[in-house]
Amino acid sequence: MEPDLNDGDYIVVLSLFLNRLRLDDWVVIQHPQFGNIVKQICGVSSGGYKVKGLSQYSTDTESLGVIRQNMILGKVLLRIAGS
Amino acid sequence: MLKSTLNLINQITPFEEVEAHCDIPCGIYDPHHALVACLTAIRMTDLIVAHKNEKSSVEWLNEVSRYVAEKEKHAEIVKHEIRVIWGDFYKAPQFEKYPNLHELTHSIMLLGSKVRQEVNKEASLQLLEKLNEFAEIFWEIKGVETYRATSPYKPELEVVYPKLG
Repeated sequence: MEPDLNDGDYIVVLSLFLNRLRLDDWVVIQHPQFGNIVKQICGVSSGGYKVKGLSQYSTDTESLGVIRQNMILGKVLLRIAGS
Repeated sequence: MLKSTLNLINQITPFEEVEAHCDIPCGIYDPHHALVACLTAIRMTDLIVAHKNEKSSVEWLNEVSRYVAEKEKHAEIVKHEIRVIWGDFYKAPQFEKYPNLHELTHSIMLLGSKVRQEVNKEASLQLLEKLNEFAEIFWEIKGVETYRATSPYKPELEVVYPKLG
């Protein structure tokens, strides 16, 4: 998620109201392949959301696959620079 | 204040971590890839210049196009490799100890772009020198001694190597 989110930064995450997610929201995902990751919602598809990273080197949306509702742990409310 | 409070809390009761990127955190970093890519870009620059006065033909066009494409590709590899080390490997203590790291990295980005955009031998040599400086700092942080030696292949320029074993 560089340059918007850097290694060591803190994020505040809300785990409620996850049925009200919108485009461009940042979410924490429990991904079966990539572990717990933070990504941005870039689309809605049948069965879930499409997400993307902000870094040009991020794993692409297609590889991340469809993110089902039950994979989303929370919505990012706040970013705080860690260093 | 907020940051230092969070850092303190994190030390006492660590927060749950999430990855902001999907790189597997393998911990393998080495500036050598950037140095070799830079040598390739320099070599491609030399080859393009060597073809400067030749008459245009399909063969000429094919060759020069390939050199340009490789120069583009390898200058970008330089930028990518250095960005990864700068963004993922270096942390606050290193930036404090080596305050010129940001400026050095930025100058590599600018020179990398210049090497891509132009047929500019001088810029490519400057890029190599900046990369050598970057590599020396990198290995110093890792506690590994370095030496400079001429690469055993064209363009036969001086490159920083780690002294291993």
